This record gives sequence, C-alpha cells and structure tokens, in this order.
Amino acid sequence: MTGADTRTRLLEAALACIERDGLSNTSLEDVAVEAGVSRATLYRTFPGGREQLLSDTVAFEVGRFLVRLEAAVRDEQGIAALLRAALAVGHAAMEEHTLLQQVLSTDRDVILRELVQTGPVMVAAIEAYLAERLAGETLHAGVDREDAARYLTRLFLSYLGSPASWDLHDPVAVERLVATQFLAGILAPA
Amino acid sequence: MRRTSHREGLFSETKNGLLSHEILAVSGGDGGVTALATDIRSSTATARILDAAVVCVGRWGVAKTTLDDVARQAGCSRATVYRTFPGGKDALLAEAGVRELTQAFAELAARVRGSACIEDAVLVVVREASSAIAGHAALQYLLTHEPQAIAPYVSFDGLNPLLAWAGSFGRAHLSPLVADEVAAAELGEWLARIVVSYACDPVEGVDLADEATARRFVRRYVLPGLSAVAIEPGRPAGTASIPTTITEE
Repeated sequence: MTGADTRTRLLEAALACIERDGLSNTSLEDVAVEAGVSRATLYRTFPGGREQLLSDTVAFEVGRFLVRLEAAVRDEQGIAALLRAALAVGHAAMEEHTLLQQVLSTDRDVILRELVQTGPVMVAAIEAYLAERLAGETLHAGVDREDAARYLTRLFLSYLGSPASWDLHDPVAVERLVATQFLAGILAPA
Repeated sequence: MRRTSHREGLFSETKNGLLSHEILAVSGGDGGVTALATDIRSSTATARILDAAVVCVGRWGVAKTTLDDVARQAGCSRATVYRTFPGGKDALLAEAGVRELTQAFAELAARVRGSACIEDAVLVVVREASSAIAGHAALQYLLTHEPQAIAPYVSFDGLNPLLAWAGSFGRAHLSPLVADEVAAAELGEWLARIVVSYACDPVEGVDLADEATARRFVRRYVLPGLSAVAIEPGRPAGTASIPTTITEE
C-alpha cells in the first residue's frame, strides 16, 4: 500500500468512525482499527495527531463534495444552467449529507472551525472554475470575468449554505434567482 | 420589563429585548412612572455593560474576554454583571451582538430614508453596512483573529435570522422604491448576502465601504438584477410589477 493509499484509507476510516460514533467519541485508536493499520502508521501519516487528522478529514470531505458536485453539473450547457443545477444539486446534497448534518447538530463549533480553515481553498477553487466557465459566455460590456466569478462564488456559497427565504427545490424559483441576482449584470442578452 | 431567556440565540429577542426600554420611553409607555424610571435606570446599567463587552471583544476577542474584564471596563462590580446577565458570558455577548445589530439596522434605516431612487437606496445600504462592519473594532478583531466566533452566525442556518431581519428591513424601508413588498424583502436579503460575503471573504480591490467601488459594484451586479424583475434603476417606484415568468437567456 502506498503512502497516498494509506492516507486515503485513514481519512475514509475517520469519516466512517465519525458518522457511526460521533466526532467526540472517535479516537485515533478507533480510526486505526477501522482502517486496519497500526497506531504507529497513523501517527506517521498524521504527525499532528487527532487535530491534523480532523482538519485533513474535513478538507478531504469538502474536496470530495466539490468533485461530486462538479461531476453532476459539468455537462450543463451555459453558465445559467450550470448555476441552476449547482444550486439545486448542491443544496440537496448538503441536506442529504448525513455526516454534515450530524456534526452540525452535535459538534457545530468544531466543524465550523474546521470549515473556516477550509473556506479559502474552496472559495478559490470555485472562483477559478466559474471564471473558466464564464470564458465561453458573452458578457455585458465592461464586465471583468475574474471579478464576476468572485461575485458569483460568494453568492453561490451564500445560497448553498443558507437559502433562507428561497426554496432551492423549486426549479422556477431557482431559475428566477439565477436570471436576476446571479447573472442579470453579467451575461449580455442573447 | 423582564428579559427573557438568552438561550434561543443571537437574534431571538429583537422585539422584546433591550430596545423595548427605549421604545417604551419614547412612546410614553403604558406602565407607571416608577416602573419606567426603574427600567431606564436598569437599562442604563445594562447598556454600560454591553458597551463594555463590545470594547473588550474589540481588544481581546471572545475567547480571552472575561466577565471581570467587562466589569472593570464598565466600572461596575462583578456581581452587577452576573446579576444583570445570569446566563454569563455567552448570554452577555449574544445580547451585545443583538444590540449592535439592532443599532446598525436602525442607523441604516435612518440613512436610507429619503433616498430618491432605488440606486441611491441600494448604494446607501451596501456602503453604509460595509463601512459599519469595517469600522467596528470588535467585528474586525473577530474576522481577523477569531473567525470561528463569527462562523456560527454567518454559516448554514445560522445566517437565516440575519437574512430574515434584512428581509424585514427591505420590506419596511425599500418597498416604496421597488415593485412591491416581496421584491423589497428579496432585495434586503440579497444585499445582506453581498455585504456579509464580502466582509467574511474579502476580495482584494473590492472595498464596498468605498463610495466609488460600491457604486460600480451596485451598478454592475445589483441594479440589472432588480430591473429584470422590478423597475428601471433611477426611476421612482410605483407601477412596475414582477413578471410571472422570466425569459430564458
């Protein structure tokens, strides 16, 4: 087993343990047993111990979430369809993410602290992705593509986490939202 | 007037909390004169403690601020702080947060009043709210050094109370300038998302507290989205209605 394999196996084991036993009940020992590796191997892979394992596990799962989301919306034609799908699929996936919902209810402070750490990387990844997708679009005169991507990223993450008065399960609402708040100032009328 | 439980969270008592002292005083109240006087006296002490808490957080952050620090800063005894906030530090800071936000929304309402058109109103909201955050020592300390103390109020459903508040603000103060109350509430919520997002995840070169930057931003991203559903920017409100369908781009 390569180092990368061991790492992934440990991260997946950590996720399984947290989902089964809860964050505060998961020890390094549990994770090592779940992964079928020795404690020594675990410490060699995560020299920072429990703290590092937790941070890396959250970053790993956030990364997987984004990869899955991207795969689900990648084939949408045009930025409007992409954003509509990403809002709908992304929000549903978060609601159905048992582990996220579980740690939000039992260990909210811990998970938020970790997500604060992961935030900038996630924001940068979405910005770069949306900037690339905007390259294929006809934009209003004077729109800076990078700036527009930064705006769309912030608004997207705001809605993804906190839809508030908007029902993201309602395609009509999502269509109106994307056509107005997201893209009205960015896309030139066809 | 008795304060209710603080356990429901940061925004749970905007109606019945601290401000009701002032509302009662201003409106003449319906209680006896003695009750009113007691209220004002206790509310002054409470306000001093809340002020002190905000000062302490601006200096040391949430984790390192103790009730002793707050008492010293407020110039009162520890016992008074404990008596006034039986829920301890969490309750005190939650109430301080509610009060800071209540004041910020009240100031925003005063500034947005008299805006001649929707562009002016939106600009005022975005710029004033951003500049209030930029100039708030406690918030700046937390955003820079202790973002995990802010996170519960700006993440997931934790942001919903603030967004609902912003929606009510929009309905109350932006309605005259857009098509109807629904559009005004949506606008209020939208602007809150923008202000909060750019405060928590700043973009280099996009300082929404800056007049010229905020105007460019509002003209670029907000007004076109509004005119798509409500009215032309710069046109006084009244007649336009929200189309029931949006044409596919």
